Amino acid sequence: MIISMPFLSIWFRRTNAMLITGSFMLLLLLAGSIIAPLLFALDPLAIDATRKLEAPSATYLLGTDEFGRDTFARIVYGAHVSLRVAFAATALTAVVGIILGTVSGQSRLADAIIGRISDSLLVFPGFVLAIMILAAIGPAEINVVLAVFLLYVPRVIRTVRASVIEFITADFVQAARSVGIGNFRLLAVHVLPNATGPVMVQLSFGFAWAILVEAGLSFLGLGLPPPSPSWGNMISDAREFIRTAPWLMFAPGAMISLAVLSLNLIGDGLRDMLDPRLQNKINL
Amino acid sequence: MKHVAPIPAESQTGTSGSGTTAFHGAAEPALEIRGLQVRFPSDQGPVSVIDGIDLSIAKGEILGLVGESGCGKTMLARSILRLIPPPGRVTGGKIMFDGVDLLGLNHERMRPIRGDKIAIVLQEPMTSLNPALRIGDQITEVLKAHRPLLSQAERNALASDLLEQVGIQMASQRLTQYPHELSGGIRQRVVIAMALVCGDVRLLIADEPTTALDVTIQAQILELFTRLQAERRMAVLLITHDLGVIAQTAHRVAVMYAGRIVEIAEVNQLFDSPRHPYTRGLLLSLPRRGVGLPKSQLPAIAGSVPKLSNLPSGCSFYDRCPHHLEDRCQVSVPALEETRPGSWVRCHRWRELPAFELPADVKP
Amino acid sequence: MNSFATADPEPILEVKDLVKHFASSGSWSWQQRRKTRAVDGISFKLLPGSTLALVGESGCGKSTTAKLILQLLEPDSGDIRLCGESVTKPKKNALRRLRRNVQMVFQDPYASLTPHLKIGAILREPFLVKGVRPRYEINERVRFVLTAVGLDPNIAQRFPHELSGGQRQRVGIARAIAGEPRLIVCDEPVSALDVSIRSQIINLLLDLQKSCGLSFLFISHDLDLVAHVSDVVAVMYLGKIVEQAPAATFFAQPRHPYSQALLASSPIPDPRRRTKPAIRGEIMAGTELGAGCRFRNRCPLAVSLCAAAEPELQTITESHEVACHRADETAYTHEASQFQTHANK
Repeated sequence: MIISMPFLSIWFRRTNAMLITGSFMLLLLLAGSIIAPLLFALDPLAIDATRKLEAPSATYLLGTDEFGRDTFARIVYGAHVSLRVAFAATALTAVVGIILGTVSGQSRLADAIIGRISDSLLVFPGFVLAIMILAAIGPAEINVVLAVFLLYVPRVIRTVRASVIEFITADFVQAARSVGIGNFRLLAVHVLPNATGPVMVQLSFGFAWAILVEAGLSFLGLGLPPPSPSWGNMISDAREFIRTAPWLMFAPGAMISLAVLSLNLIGDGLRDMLDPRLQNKINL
Repeated sequence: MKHVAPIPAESQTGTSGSGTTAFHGAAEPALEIRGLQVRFPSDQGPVSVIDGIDLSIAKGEILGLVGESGCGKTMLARSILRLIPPPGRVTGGKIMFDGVDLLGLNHERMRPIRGDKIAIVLQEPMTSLNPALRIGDQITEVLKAHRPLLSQAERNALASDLLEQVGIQMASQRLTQYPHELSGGIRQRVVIAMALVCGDVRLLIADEPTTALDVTIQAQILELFTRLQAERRMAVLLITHDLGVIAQTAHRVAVMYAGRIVEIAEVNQLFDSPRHPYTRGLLLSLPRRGVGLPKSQLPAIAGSVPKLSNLPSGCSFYDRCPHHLEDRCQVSVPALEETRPGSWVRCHRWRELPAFELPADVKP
Repeated sequence: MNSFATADPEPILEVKDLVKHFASSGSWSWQQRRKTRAVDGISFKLLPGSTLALVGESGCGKSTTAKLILQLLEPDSGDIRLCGESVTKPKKNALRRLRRNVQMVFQDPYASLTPHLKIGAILREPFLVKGVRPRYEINERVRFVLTAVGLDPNIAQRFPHELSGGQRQRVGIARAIAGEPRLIVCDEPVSALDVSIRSQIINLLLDLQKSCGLSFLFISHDLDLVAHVSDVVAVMYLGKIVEQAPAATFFAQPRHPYSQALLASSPIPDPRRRTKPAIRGEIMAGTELGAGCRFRNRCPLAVSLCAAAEPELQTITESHEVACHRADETAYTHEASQFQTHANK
């Protein structure tokens, strides 16, 4: 309740086109991937050797691949995989990022340690580091989640840390402290909700980035092992047939673009909405 | 600019031309504001932040403008310089300066007036100076804009001269310092120097110029203001919420409440016999050394400052006023009436109010 | 009222030789560390039911003193006793109990209420801390304190930004009295409010003092206000108390040149009695302090002794203490007495 309130009130006060479009697209994507399996009998793994590399038709909306598997079914289940990985990574990033960010916002020693570790993670170009990590611990869904988490968590830590440092000295926090409130409640109720906005922005970009990284890793064969229907795997498999069956490449590519675009719109929209410099409203 | 028809009560004073000039007994006005209206759009429709203000400032006078936060006093200052922040807009009225209506000028023609003929000093000396520039450069920059023919050496000489005039010692050394190296009082002196650097300032607008300063420094800055004003025969519009500051510096006082002027009078008049219940309430509510019993209840004005988007109908002071009459005060907005030469009040009942008296002195 | 020197009733607050320095250094360790002596050895006592005003200009250390008393900062040395118990080195449980005895009203009512919490949630906290249960009991008490500060109890459903400045400050006061403290630190409680609202808030504070027997540590730069609300006045300058006296004595006859300057500079709301700047110059930088009096660079009476030795607080008449080498000569002369009384028209 506490966390959602300021967020919601701002939401209702200022609507903005980017945010609305982005949210609408993401909702459509989510709803589609949930509803489609209920409406159609979809099996992403069923092989039909008689119908290989078929063009889109009424039976197979997006055609079939080289094993005769339904591309539409694989796109729908690929959405599950992509979104699951991205969601797990983002959730892990949020939890760990908020905890570590809060700790380093409060203690100098912790800040020094956490800060240096974060910095050393940020030194590498993100995707290269992801490849290194996956190469080291082997391809698996959980490992992809871990790699994305490791790469993105420093940004969330920084954001939370900045908010904590800014608000821990605010009058209202001092006021709450002088009433005798314990440290935990002070942080959870008075300080952290102020970081909600910037953290949400970070996380929506992180979510988009997670989808991209998962696709990229799968494309390189470092992501989910086949026959998992991941969008990255699908693009990778479609490389050979780019001339003969371009829909195999096009469909997952479009989905990735769509998902990433929608989340970036949400992130930008949130940032605009929460940026105090853009709120030149006069209080009448 | 479209002139919005004022509400009926306003029209008596707001649009009758010669009557308004007589308003303030200012023989030769440096600035004359007539029927000024400033509006901001809001969720509940446009809100008048300034609602039909008539005001003139005579040459060589300090006009004090008193009011609380949100009463429109800062917007008034900004509209003189044409610096109303969007989405606010001037929706009516005239601001006559030097024979022209400032509201009718485009930006090209407004620029030579800003900073040269009309200057402004703001509340916070730290934010009105650029932290990245030496103060000498900031002062000469103003000169570059308005006196392009001077050489750099002449500009520097003018600048250090000016710093001495505003009471800064070792002026030539100060020119090379950055704002953060100076104390608050010196900074405000620099800001004043910058405002006056062109030497031709006819109207100085000072918006809460001492609010951020300590009392001992405030006294010094106020003294500087009065000295410079007398030396240069400038008109000064001094905006503040502090009645002490007004009493100590202003020649004439205008009291604003909720976007309108409710009382104008010569300073002794205003403090001796205020007419408007709001002015009276303010003066009575001030704790004063040696007046009234210590720890006794202060006479307070009831209620809170109304929101401009939600003003009472009729007199905007209606629901806080101890003298309000339902049948009159709630019905129409009172007009600004002349109570004696040079004194004006916006109250239906000013004739009926008892004489104003401060509580008796308590001698220890 | 003027019993502050005699020790008969136990003081609610006793501060002894309190020191707090801040290191203001560059971020590089080899840069020389400069110390700001925010509070530099101050002592005072506050009796039950009375008000001590700490007066001074920005940077004099009055807000740091408040934070030290509220244990929002830890002192470098010295002792703070609340209701006879030391709070400087307390055990954790004792600290919680002690903290309840002192509360604070903040200067800026816009910044001191958590913006995303409803008024009710903000006011429930002191009761939660106190261990009041169950929830309806807490809500009942929230309604009670809201009524006590003159607000409609339904305001509990609103957010801070929906309230006016005066209403917010009332909420701030409600929060302070909720824990039933014996001492409230008021840090410039009205200076951020509109002029027409200030007297309401002052009246409320005076009312609460009378009805609950509260003690106030009243921090302000407004001497007219201080004259109205306080029993004892302590003037601070650069971390030291330079003068301390019962209010009536102080305003009739301030003896420190700085106190006199403060009184003379504060603008009187009467155009017929113009004031003049009483002192020149500004507060001395920390590096120049040296051994002498901290006020010597602005003092009209400074002599060579003032640069050589720092004057100690000394009692000059009953319960009137001044830290000035030339205190014998500072009694008001006839023409200076214009500042004492309000001239008649």
